[in-house]
Amino acid sequence: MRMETGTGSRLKMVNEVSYRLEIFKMTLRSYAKDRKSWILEIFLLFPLFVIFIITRRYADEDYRETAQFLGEEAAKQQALGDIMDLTIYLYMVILAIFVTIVLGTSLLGTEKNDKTIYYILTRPIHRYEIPLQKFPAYLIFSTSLFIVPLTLLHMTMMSVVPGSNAFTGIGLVPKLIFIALLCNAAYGSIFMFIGLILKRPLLVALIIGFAGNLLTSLIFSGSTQAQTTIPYHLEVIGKSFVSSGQIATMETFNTALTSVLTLISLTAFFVALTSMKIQKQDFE
Amino acid sequence: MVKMRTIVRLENVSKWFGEVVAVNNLTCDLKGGITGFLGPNGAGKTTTLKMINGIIAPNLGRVTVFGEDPWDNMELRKKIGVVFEMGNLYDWMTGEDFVRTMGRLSGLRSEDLDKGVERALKIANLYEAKNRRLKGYSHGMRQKIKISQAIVHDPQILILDEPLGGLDPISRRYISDLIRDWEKEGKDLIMSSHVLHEVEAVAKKIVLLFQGKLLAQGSIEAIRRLIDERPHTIKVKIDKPKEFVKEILEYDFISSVVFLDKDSLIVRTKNPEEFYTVFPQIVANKGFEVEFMGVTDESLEAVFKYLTMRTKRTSM
Repeated sequence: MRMETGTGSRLKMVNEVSYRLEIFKMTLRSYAKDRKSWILEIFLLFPLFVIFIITRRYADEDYRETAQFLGEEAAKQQALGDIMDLTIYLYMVILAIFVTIVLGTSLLGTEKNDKTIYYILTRPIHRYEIPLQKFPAYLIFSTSLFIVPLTLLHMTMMSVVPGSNAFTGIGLVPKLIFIALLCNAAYGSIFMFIGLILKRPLLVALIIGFAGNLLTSLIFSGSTQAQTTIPYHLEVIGKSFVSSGQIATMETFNTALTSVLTLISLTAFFVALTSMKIQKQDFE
Repeated sequence: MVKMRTIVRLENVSKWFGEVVAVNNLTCDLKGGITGFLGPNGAGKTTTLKMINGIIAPNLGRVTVFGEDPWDNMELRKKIGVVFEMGNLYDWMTGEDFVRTMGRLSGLRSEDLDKGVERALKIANLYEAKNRRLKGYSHGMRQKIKISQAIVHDPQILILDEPLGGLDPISRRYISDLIRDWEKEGKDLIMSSHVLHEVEAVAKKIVLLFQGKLLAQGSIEAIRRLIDERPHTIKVKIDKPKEFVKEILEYDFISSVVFLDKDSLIVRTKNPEEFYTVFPQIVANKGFEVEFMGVTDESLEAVFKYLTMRTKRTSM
């Protein structure tokens, strides 16, 4: 009898958890079924063609020279540095902003504007749970969009390095994806909040995404100004993973761990702010 | 049998958005059974319904449902099903997906969920179309699937915001029957409409709102008498308008017909009740396809202005 009670309460708990995860699952499915998501994936894959051509035409010779004068290991490190440069300066600082704007602002913004959010608001689920379930779904999906492009980027670059093959130094790929995860988390949390509070969030999101440096320079200067931008922290983290490339020479003012914690704190702040806002918000 | 228990109580409720007062010091009790909120666009019907199910909170006053505050009230939400007029659907889902997801969000699991989904789809007559994407649903089907998602968890109160708006006569009749059946099951329903005859067809009690204020509440007969003294204009969009006009002009209660464009016309009638009885018969017999039929807002504004003036005069 006692066992039955135990099983019953466990079942109830499982039901409770799975019921609580319904919005998470629904958000993941909506991204997967949305044509926009797959356009974004093509958008992320597209630069690889250009990178492929440039690598074959220019970097190829560069790496061969390095290998000849400094050894194959130096050429490999140079390529890894180049991969990190492209990941940070092309994928994170430019392309990821478009991805996070599209996916982040729509997270609550589209539901609010289409009024589909009423279907959730009228269910027995606390309002603050909505962003808490939607955000992880966004994070998983948006980061998964980067897995193939960043892996292919690595393989394309490494395949032309003398003494290396496409899989040499493949351990860098999870690190690149970790950077993408932090980037998507930080930008996505801000854009999710903007999507909730503004009717047309796109312009504000673009300003924050692309003119963040400029905006912070109006208030701060020097190292403080750098530390208040997301790209800076991504650079610091990227620098800690490579010993070559443009990024390896940049001036930093804090450790990679501090940057990781900063980006996590920023994300947590905006997710909490969104939860607090939605808990009190009227949906006219 | 009319149930006398109070299901919803609004006490001096006011709600404003910026400088717009949507609901102004509204006080009323809604008893069990079917209650209709009636009023022209902007009367505060949707805002009141949203306050009743806790989507928005009043700025002043108090709303209770079954004696409890509906704001963020989980237990209460399990007892309420809601259909809003406005708003899209999750078009990427199939009909069954949608109802099932909403059932899960309401806390239904395994067998209860399967039964609830099947019942809700069958009630709305959408069981055959359950595997189709919502994107391909017609306006009538979309309205019916909204009802399915609202009843999947078998709530005690169903709240419908303009459930018959813009529907063809067949869907209109189907949903009206569905509403009546809901009451027969001993459940409660609150609906809103800006068309008296829609409300009258299913509800015995109405709450008449105008500019956010309560104008009248109670028996539908008395309020209907007031409104029927005014002529009604109805907009019809139909595939063969000229043939339709030939048919409709045979009846005495039609005062005039004005063509708006090649397939839309405005019908003015002295007896809306007869019009609404005859209209579906003509459509069915002659095989017309109706894209839209509804009272024009302008005429309703006139009716409500007339009613307000009359109320003021009476109170003087």
